[in-house]
Formats: sequence, structure tokens, C-alpha cells
Amino acid sequence: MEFLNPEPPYILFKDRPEWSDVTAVPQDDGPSPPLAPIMYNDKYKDATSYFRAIYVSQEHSQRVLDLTLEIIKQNASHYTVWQYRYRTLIALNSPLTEELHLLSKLLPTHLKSYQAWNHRRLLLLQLGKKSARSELAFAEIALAKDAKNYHTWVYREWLLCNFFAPMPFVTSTTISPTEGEEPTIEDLDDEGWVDDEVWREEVAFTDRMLEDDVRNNSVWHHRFFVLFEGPRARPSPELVQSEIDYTEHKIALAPNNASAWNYLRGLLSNSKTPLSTLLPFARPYTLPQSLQPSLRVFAEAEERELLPGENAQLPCVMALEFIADALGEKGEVEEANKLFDELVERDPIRKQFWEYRKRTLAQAPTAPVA
Amino acid sequence: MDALLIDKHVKYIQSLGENTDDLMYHLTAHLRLNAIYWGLTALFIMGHPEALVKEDVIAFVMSCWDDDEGAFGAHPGHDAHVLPTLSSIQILVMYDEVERADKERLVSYLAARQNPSGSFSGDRWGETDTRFSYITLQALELLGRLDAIDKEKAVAHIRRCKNYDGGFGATEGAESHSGQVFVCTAALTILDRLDEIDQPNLAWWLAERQLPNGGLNGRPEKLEDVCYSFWVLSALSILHKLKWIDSDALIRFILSAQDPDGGGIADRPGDMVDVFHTVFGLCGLSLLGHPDVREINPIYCLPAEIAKKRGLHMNYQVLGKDEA
Repeated sequence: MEFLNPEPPYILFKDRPEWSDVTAVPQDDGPSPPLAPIMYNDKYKDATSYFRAIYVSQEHSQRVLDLTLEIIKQNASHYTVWQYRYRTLIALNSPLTEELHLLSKLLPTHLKSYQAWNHRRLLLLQLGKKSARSELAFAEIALAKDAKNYHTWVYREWLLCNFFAPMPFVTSTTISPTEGEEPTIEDLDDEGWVDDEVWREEVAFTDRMLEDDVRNNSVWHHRFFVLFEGPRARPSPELVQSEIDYTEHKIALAPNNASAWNYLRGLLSNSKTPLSTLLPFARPYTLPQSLQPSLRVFAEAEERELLPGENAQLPCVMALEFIADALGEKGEVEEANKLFDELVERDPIRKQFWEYRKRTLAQAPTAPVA
Repeated sequence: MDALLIDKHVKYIQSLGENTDDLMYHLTAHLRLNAIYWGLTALFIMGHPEALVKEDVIAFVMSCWDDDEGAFGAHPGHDAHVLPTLSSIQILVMYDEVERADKERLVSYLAARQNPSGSFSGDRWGETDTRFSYITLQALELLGRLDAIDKEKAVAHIRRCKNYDGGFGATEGAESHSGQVFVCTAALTILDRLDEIDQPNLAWWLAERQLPNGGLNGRPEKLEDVCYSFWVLSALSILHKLKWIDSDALIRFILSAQDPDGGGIADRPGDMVDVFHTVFGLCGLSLLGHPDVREINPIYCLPAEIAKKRGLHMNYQVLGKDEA
């Protein structure tokens, strides 16, 4: 019962007996009078004054961990404090799994803190591959809170590439945990089959995420990365075809979804497939809702699944554009221009763009946008 | 259409240093130098560079010098990082006082941030991001020392951050994001390598960022925000494709996010203003040819007259201005 164990009252560091041997260092606001004087609240001013003191004396101790945690709770963006905390953890040989658990509690309220995620990466580099798998689960929990959080997605890809790729991915996120030392990544040999399983599960993970929100561009991007660009990607014509089918079904669920149409275009250009291959699929989406019942009547059961739903907003601008590009690609300039005219009308905010597309098509009848 | 409230915005920026009771204020010490750069840039393009006291600003910048590392921290006593280091150099350049900085130490600090893969770290602790590539490249160009790094590798790394939609992410494999598109496009301009960009595809992705209310978003299916007026427009300007969006609708959106009482611009109408959205809203208006705002050079986010004087890259588009 919570009232039996209340949160102890906050004690300023200057009133804590274990800090009595330290002389606080107040903030230097630069030349006086200061250009940008800062009136901190007392709690923060007190804690950071003690931080400056131990920073000068280069103390690494348990009480430094308490102090830095307190400051981070008040201001998760103070990167010097995070770095000092990491150095102290290493100097004390502290159990890093405990730090990871602590961070798991803190992170959900600081999902946009670069520093918090960077700290987590540094911990993982020390803990190694054995901890990486549960980290994927952690990232999924974090995404449940904010499904488009950029930091979480970058972290997830970093985990996959650093710990589950047979060849170290030429990654941009090579972190040196301490100066002059190379990161300690565990030997990744002989684990290929485990790695493959992780990457397969990753595709299923994007399925789950898209079932929650079919418009989440981060998920579509991640799926493309896993299947076509990442270190374990194995693109093949069969894969491209099954992904086209998958995406068509997703478009049928929500036709005005730029993320899915972009993914579809990514698939086609990546595999050098002409856009016109998908004319039969895209056409119905350029027709008004009033014509849809007759399309449904004449469609085979399988085709019917790929037709727009009864509540879809039609005609769909992205489908009009897709067809215009496909026709342009085939040199059917006149037909394409009719669609660009319709786009000017239906998407007036990008009027200049559609008119530009018409002009360039007249000059060189191939789609500049693939 | 709402008027642009220049006088109010100038007063708002002047008041930033005086607002000592603001609870959020102490939390932003790690952005203090950036905030001064944002405020000063806004004042320059509003035609009031004298609104802050030059010697005070320079004294504050110099007090952020981290002599152990040979670069600038965000605040006196903070560790050096490329972000405040660029802000410091930009402020000194705007005041034509870059000679006051220890160039030699800055160049070696900045050059040491490049990793073997060609990427750049933000500080000696190693976090990497295409933002840091851009920041380091711009800082080195302003110091006249782009030769200090491996340009080919820098280009190759940015190339690896390119995605199927034509955009760029923060790291290899990361989703396209307007902010990252700006830094990569500007970085490639500084490196004279715009040929690396899939130009029609990228410009189309950027044009797609405009929403029916005129505002721009950072990624598909996300909300509009005034700061994307700069991230998206800067890249469109560098690609000479500003006309692909509805500029009147965007101008209306930016102006509607002004605080008509206290001055400043917010992320969207009705929200609290801050100096970050104020400068990027003004930069957006500048690129769209608003008559009351002076020209910004989107490659560096520096006043155009200053960039021109220093012989920096000037190839970009401003609406309403004859193109060379």
C-alpha cells in the first residue's frame, strides 16, 4: 500500500551529510553582466553546483551516480552529465544490466532525448549480443508509446545491424565508448542461423505494426530496409512480387495512403519494373465511388479484394499520379496530360508541380519520377 | 492575410535574455549558444542586427570556449560539441570577427570528428548523425579549411543514407525526414556534389510535405510545423523547385502562427512561441520572397549578404527574384 511507503521528501545536496566534504561550484554565467542570466530553480541549481564540483575533482563514486541520476531526471538533455555518468559506471565496474533497467524506466518519458538513447547504445556495446535480443522487445514497447519516434527506429536498426548481421554493417553509428578504445562487440561468428531468425521475425514485426496503423511511414520504411537494403536483405523477383501483392492489399484498406504508394514505387524502381505493370490494379482507384459497384460485380473474387472499399475517398490523387506516370513512361503523352489536368483540379496546392510535370512530359515523354 | 510583426519579433528576441523566471529556461543551457545564433540570424534578416549588443554577444561566445578540447561548448563549463561550435563560428562570421577564434585548434577538433566510414560524430563520445556531417562541413568551409577532411568519404556516407523515396535519414537505413534532407542537401552543395541527389524524386517528396492548411510536415502522415518551412523550403530552394508548393498558403500558415501580443512565432497557430520557430518561420518567409524579410542563404542559414561577401556557395532559388 503506497501510503505506507511514501516518496521521501527531496533533500538538497547541500543538506546531505554524505556531500558535506564537497564545496559546491556555482554556475559561471560568462562575462558580467551576463548576456543570458539563468534563474534556475533551487533544486536544479543545487544539484548542478555539486556536479561542477565533482567534475573538477574528477570523482567517480556511488554518490556521483546518485547525483547524475537526479540531474538527468530534471533535465534529460544535459549531455555532459550523461557522459560523466557513463564514465563513472565504467570506472566503478557497475553492473550495467541494472543501469539498463533503470534507463528502461526513464526512457518512456524521454523518448525524444538523443542523450538517453545514446547512453543506451553505449551500454549495449558493453553488454554485447546476449542482451540485444531483449532490446528488440524493449524497442517494441517504446514504439507502443510513440509508433513514429525517430530515435526508437534508429536504435532498432542499429541493434539489428550491429548484433545480428554476419558482417559488421558499414555503420555510421560506430561509437567509441571510451577515448582511444574500439567498441567491444562480441564475436558474431557461427550464429548465422539465429541471426536469420531475428531478421525473419522483423518482417512479422512490421506486419503487426501495419495492422495497428497502415499509414505509419516509419514502418513501411523499416520493412523496405529489412527486405531490400539491410545487411541481411535478399531481394529476388519472387520477393518483389509478394511485396507488391502485400502492398496492393494494404492500399485497398486505405487508398489515400502516401506511405504505401511510395513503398510500391520503391519496389518497382528497385526492381526496375515498369509502372505500367500495375495499371490494372491502380485504375479503379482513379474512378469515382459511383462506378465502383459495377466494377465489383464484374470482378473475380481475388480481384475484388484489391478494389477500393465502399468508404474510400475517390478518386485517389496518388492513383491518378501513378497512372499519369505509367502512361508517360509508355509515351502516351496525351492520356497522361488529361490526368495531370485532373490533378491540377483535385490537388490545387501542388498545381505548379502538376503543370511542371505536364511541360516536362511534352519535352521528354518519360516519367521523371519513378 | 496577417501582417508580419517585425517590431514585436525584434522585442521578443531582445527579451529572451531577461526572462529570468521562466521555468523552462534553465533546461535549455545545452542550447544556449544555438539560441543566440537563432536570435541573431532572425534579427539580421529582419534588418535589426544592432538589437543585441555585439560586444556582449562575442564575450559570451568566447566564454563558452572549452580549452581542453579546443572547441566551443553550449554554455560556459559544458563540454565541446560540433553543434555549439558551428553556432559560435556563425555568430563570429555574422559580426565579421571570426579572427577572434583559435582557427587552428578548431580545424583540428572538427577534422577529428570524421570517422573511418566517412560519417561524423558530434563530439568525442561518438554519436553520429548526418546532422553532424553538415555541421562539421559548414564550420570547416566558414574557416576556409574543407581540405582538412576526406571529402570523398563524406559524400559516400551521405550517399549510403539515401532512401528509396529519394530522401535522406539520420544514419544508414534510417527513415527519410525533412530535417535530415535539409542537412544532406546542403552538405552535398558545400561539397559540390549535388549530382548525388535523385533530384526529381526528392523534390517531389518535398512538395508532398505540404498539407491542405498550407503548412509543411517532416514525414508522411505527420503534423505540420512552422520549422519545416525552413527544412523543406531550404532543400527545395537548393534544388530550384520552390514553385512546386503553394507559397501563398504557406505564407498564410506561418503568419498565423505569430503571437500578435508578445511577438515570436510558434510551431503552429495557438501554441507557445520560441526562438527556434521564430527564426525558421522568418527564413521560410525569406525564401518565399516576403518583402519585409531580407534574403537568407539556405545552404548555411546565414544572411545572404554575409555569405556573398565571404565567397560562399550562392546557388539557390528565392521566389520573386530573377534567377541567374
